[in-house]
Amino acid sequence: MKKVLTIILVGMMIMSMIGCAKDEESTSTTETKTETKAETKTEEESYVGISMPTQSGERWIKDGSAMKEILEAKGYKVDLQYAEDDIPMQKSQIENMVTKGADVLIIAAIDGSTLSDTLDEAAANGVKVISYDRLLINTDAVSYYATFDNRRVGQQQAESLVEGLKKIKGEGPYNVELFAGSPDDTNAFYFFSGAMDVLQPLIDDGTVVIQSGQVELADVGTLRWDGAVAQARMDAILAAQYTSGEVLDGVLSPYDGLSRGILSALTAFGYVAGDDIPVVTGQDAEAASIKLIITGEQYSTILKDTRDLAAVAAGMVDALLSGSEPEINDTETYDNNVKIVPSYLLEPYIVTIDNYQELVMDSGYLTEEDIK
Amino acid sequence: MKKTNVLIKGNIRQYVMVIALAVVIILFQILTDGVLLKPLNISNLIAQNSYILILATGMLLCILTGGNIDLSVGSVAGFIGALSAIFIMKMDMPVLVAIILSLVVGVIIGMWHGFWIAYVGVPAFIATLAGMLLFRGLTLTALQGTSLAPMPDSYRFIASGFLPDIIGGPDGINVLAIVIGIVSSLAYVIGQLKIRIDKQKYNFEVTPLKVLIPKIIGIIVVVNAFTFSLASYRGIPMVLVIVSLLVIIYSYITTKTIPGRHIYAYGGNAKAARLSGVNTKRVMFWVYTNMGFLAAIAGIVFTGRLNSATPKAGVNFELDAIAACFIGGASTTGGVGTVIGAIVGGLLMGVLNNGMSIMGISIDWQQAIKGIVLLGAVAFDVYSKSKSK
Repeated sequence: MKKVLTIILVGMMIMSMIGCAKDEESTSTTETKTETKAETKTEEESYVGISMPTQSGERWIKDGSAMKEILEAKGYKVDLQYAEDDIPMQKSQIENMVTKGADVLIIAAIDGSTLSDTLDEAAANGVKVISYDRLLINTDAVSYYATFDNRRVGQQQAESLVEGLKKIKGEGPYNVELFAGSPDDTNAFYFFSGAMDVLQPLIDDGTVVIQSGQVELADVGTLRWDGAVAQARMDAILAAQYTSGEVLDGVLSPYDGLSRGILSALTAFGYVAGDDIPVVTGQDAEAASIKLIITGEQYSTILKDTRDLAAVAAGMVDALLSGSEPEINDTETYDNNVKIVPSYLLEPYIVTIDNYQELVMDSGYLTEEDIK
Repeated sequence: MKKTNVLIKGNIRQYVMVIALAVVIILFQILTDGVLLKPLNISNLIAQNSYILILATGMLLCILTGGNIDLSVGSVAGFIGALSAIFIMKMDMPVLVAIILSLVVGVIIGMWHGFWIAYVGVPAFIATLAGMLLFRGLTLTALQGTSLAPMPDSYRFIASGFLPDIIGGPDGINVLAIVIGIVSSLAYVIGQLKIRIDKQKYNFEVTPLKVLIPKIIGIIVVVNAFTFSLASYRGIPMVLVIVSLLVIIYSYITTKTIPGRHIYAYGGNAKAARLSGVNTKRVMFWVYTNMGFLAAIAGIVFTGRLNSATPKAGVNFELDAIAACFIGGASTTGGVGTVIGAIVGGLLMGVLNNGMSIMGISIDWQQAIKGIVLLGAVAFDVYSKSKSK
């Protein structure tokens, strides 16, 4: 038995070595291609690497496949990879793309600060880098930034929260609890500070009351955007603050995945949809949350039509490779500690039960099958 | 008196973690101004830790076989949760059928691991590491990156439902919970007395009454305070029923049945066990098969609690379950440890999480503190073990 296994194992090792050797060959051929490209560069030969953070959120899958589709239609070779929220994995994926001779990289970072030396290395090889959705910081190598206006997303979340409170809960003051995204994701900071642009004046004048007193990003952050973590924190706050008569009116949640965890905690606590359930916000218009909006559990979400963002990023790639200037509309907001990154900001939309049909369904962002 | 001292010393290992749990509970009860033991929060504590406790029960058996662990349980739990959601939502199966089918798949996954470990001889660490990657990957594939939600009410009942108060009583008090508390205290007293009488029959040494009686009274007080507290909220949570049943069944299996004792024998001295006629391969195979089954239950409970099957469900559960076993006094070399110990270990971590969350301590410090406590708890345990020898 053991002998047979040893033979199989040795066989597999040899096979994998052959595999590696083959890879090396193909890498070196692409390298020679890159060298000769300067003179004879045609679109067919250009190679675009797309690195997305994870396959565990439907939006990244949509973003990735939308960009791949657009770029392949334009005749580029596309290498799309997901890193499953594993920082070292993403780093090595990007290094491998550079080794394979990528001309342009589109990167949505897991943690925008972890890739700087990899990207400096890439830039030294003449690779152009587009920062996608999440800003890459501490590096000079970023050419452009394609994103939704994330501060605006936060503002809209808070605006829809306040609108919902007025509409459903009548006159203030309102008891509200705050949740933020993962503290190591730069966007979590923009979402939260955008929301506080709207909420801070209301907290100061007493219209909005935070019973738990937790208002700092470090206290309200949710590591890795994990819904179960948000649910446990909501449970704890309800137990601590809302068992002696106070009623929770609203929850600021920065992402649908967290909102669903929070809503599970709220319904388990005894709040009833369509009756006294607090106003809960969200983001990303995920199918599972649109269903909750239809049933009246979640109040709102923010739609960032990622197909638009993918189109913008693909347009940037096209411009870079054909030597023209990509369209940008912001040259002062996004400072990555080394330079101000020229950006194209897209406008997000607030989605509620009143307009989900038009914004989410009719636009084809989701299908009826998705929300069945 | 001397006898009592010897007794306490001999048993201190068993009680160290119970005492530590009590200390942590009292500490957080003070630090959170009494929120920790509010009836609602006790319910929360059960729900938040149920799936880890279920996993820890199975993990303990793996650890007993000689410090083997199962790294795949988080991924398997996530996979089963996803599968059950797909059965229900995409394939329109009735909830009960979907759950039974999911549990069967869990058992098959367990057999898959058991086969490689017991009959091919792949080290458990490697086989289950492979399983962890394999089933995380399959979870992603099955869900296509999306979350499936919301789950039907009957499914959610498993994780967030309460036993209905069939007896009925005054407003806001769940009489059934109180009755269950009283019945289980009676069962406990009878059980303890029976053990004592049986032991006396064979002239075995028995716990002196002056130790036994306070112990029984203490446990009865805690149990009834606990069920009374639950009664004043919404009654007995379904998950508590599931976890309690599993604890009773597995405590019985590990202490009273031949297959259960075989696990200890194998973990204590594999060679001696084999030479004494224990089919060690079969022991390994069933321990891991069982782990697959429990991981499936945990997956269903977690999916019900989150009310959503998500691709990331179950990440790092294996580490929590392993930590629970070791905090609860299991030996890294196998053969030592109890189901109750693993449960106490899991609760210790759970109370820490919950208490710090109520206090509003930010996640960075929560993790740091948990690390220190884990180290401190196990170091204290090791120290007291060396003392009691």
